[in-house]
Amino acid sequence: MVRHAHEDDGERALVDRARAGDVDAFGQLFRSHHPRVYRLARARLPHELAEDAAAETFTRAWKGLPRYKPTAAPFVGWLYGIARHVVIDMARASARTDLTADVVLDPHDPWLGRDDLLALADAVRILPDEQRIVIELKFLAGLTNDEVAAVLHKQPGAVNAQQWRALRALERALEPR
Amino acid sequence: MSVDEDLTRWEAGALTVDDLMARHGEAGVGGLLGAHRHLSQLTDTPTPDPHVAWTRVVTALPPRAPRWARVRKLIAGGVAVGVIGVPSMAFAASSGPLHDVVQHLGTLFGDDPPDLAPPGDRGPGVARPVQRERSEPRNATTTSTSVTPDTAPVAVVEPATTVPPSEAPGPGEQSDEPDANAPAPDSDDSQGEDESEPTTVTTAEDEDHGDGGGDGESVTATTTADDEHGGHGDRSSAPPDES
Repeated sequence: MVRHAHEDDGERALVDRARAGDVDAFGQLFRSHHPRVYRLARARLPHELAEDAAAETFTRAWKGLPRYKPTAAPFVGWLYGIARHVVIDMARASARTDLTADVVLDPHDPWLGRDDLLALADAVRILPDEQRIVIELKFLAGLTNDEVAAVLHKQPGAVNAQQWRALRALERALEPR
Repeated sequence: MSVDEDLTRWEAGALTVDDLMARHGEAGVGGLLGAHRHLSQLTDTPTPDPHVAWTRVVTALPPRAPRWARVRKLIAGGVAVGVIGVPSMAFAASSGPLHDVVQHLGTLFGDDPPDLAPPGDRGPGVARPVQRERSEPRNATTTSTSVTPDTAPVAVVEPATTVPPSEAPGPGEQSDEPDANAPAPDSDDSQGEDESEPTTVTTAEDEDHGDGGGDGESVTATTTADDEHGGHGDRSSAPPDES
């Protein structure tokens, strides 16, 4: 049995049970990963849509679990792969992809009001895909560098290099003009 | 050590910010550390309560069939394919080339070709290969008229329309041979007519409607018989089915 570096036995057992149709096991996976999936979505979508995107991600994951092959990818990587597609689809479908617009549209949103962070999230979007995914997985999904490397099937050193390259690009993007 | 390596060590807790500054200077790492700090704050972004979110999602999760149910569906599909496919293959083989050879030998060595056609061939609605439906009865008729012109089918059917009275055989000859052969050739001939005409009508209808249930043979026959209707009908209906 292939066991990925970042997966503990508890999560692996939960994934196996969820693949077999155990809703309770899937519920535990949901509660464990939902905050990070939400953050991934929130970097591109307003709060309500980010919640919908997270829900849609887990619904698709539930449907696709029987076809998920644990040997091919760690569960977290597979889940975030789904999340990225869902978020991209919803961002395209929605005209409100500009995060800063939320401040005007919904000033009572408790997740808003951090202009610098929103600007940062905006800047992340302009990164090349490889760098952006590393940043999203690490700083939004909260994975360690080793976990990101396992998800992307890369060496940790390559992930480190991508991360610092991305940070330099962000630094330049956020420089006051 | 490169900047990236030192930053990685700092991230892992092996170096302090002061160490970094001392080695690479404010200009070298100050901006990177600031961007890193900002991004790290994104992880602290408040998120909705996952328990509340779960109560909403769990009610919308579609039911998933257990594994044994999917296996059972696969087996049922396989059985269905077998039930439908094997008899049709056997039928195609029994009415295929082997049957043609035996029938050809029969026409060479006997007056009446042995009837080896499957019983279903005689029925009006059977989807026999249409090429042979159209050719064989006519071939049988032409061989019987050309090789044995004195047989009953010619004497009974044709004299009234084609054979002039002066060339017609004498009454004695007529009365002898029809008595002996009339029933069988008549029945064969009529069978041939009955067999060919309804089948032709049936296949023509099928072809005109572009029935998707037709097999490859009927499509081929369709194109030969009626190039415009059946063939194009089938072809034009195929892509939507696929899509």
